Amino acid sequence: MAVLVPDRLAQTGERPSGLERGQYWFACLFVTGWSGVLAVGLHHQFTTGEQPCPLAMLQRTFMVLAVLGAAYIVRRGLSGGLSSRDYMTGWGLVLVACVAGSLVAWRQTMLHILPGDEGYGSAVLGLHLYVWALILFQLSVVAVGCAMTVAHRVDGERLPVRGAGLRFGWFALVVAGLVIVVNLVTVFLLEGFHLTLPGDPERWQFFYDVGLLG
Amino acid sequence: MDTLIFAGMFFTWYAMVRERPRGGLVAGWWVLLLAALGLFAFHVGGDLSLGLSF
Repeated sequence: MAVLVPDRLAQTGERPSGLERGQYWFACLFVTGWSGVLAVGLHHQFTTGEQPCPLAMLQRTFMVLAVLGAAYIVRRGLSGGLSSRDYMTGWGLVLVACVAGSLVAWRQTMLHILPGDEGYGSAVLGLHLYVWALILFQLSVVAVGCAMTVAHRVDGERLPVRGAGLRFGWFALVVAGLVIVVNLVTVFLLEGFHLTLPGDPERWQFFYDVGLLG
Repeated sequence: MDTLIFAGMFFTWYAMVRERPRGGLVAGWWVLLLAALGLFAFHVGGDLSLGLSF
C-alpha cells in the first residue's frame, strides 16, 4: 500500500520515490524514538529516585527541541503534503538541537571523566545517562546529515500522506505531546517557584514552596 | 527558567498540532533554543563551573 500518494500520480502516473516516502517515515521514527528516550529518562528518575541535575534537564530540553524539529516535518506531511523545503527546515532544526544537546552532554561527561569518579547517578547498560545522551545526539547528527544529503532531491510538489503514514504520524505527534507534558509537570515540581534548579537537586521543591512538606 | 522553557515547548507543540503559521512556529523554536543556551551558559559559569578553566 502506498504511503504517499502524490497529486502528480493521477496526472502522470509517476509514483513517489523511496526518498519521498522514506524521509517522512524517518521523521515519524525520529519523533517516537526520542520520545522513547525521554520516557526512559523519566522512568529511571521515578524508579531510582535520582533527580536530574541542571545539565541533565538541559539535555532533555534539547531532546524535546530536536523532537519538535522532526515533528514539524510530520505535521507538514499530515496537513497536506511535504516538499523539500519542509524537510530542510525540519532537519535543520533537528541538527541545531542535537549539536547543542551534544555540547551539554559532553560538558557533563567531562565533569566525571577522571579515574575514580563514580559519575552522577547510576549507570544504565554500563553507561551513565549523559553518556548515552552524547552518543544518541551524535548518532542523530549523522542520521539527519545523511537524510539531508538527499532531501533536496525530493520533488518540489507537495505530497499528501495517506494510510498507515497518516496513522503513524498522528501517533508520533501524540506520543511526543504526552512526553512533553510529563516533563513539564516534572520540572515544575522539581523547580518549584525558583528560577533555576540547584546543582544537585534532591527534593520536589514545589511541595516545600507551598508548605506541604518541610 | 526550565519550567518556562518546557512550557514554551509544549505551546510550540500545541501550535504545531493546530497548524499555526510556520513562521511563528520556527521563530518560537529559536527563542526557546536561545533561552536554553543562555541557561546552559548560566550553569556552566555558576554552580557547575567547579573552578574549571578552558
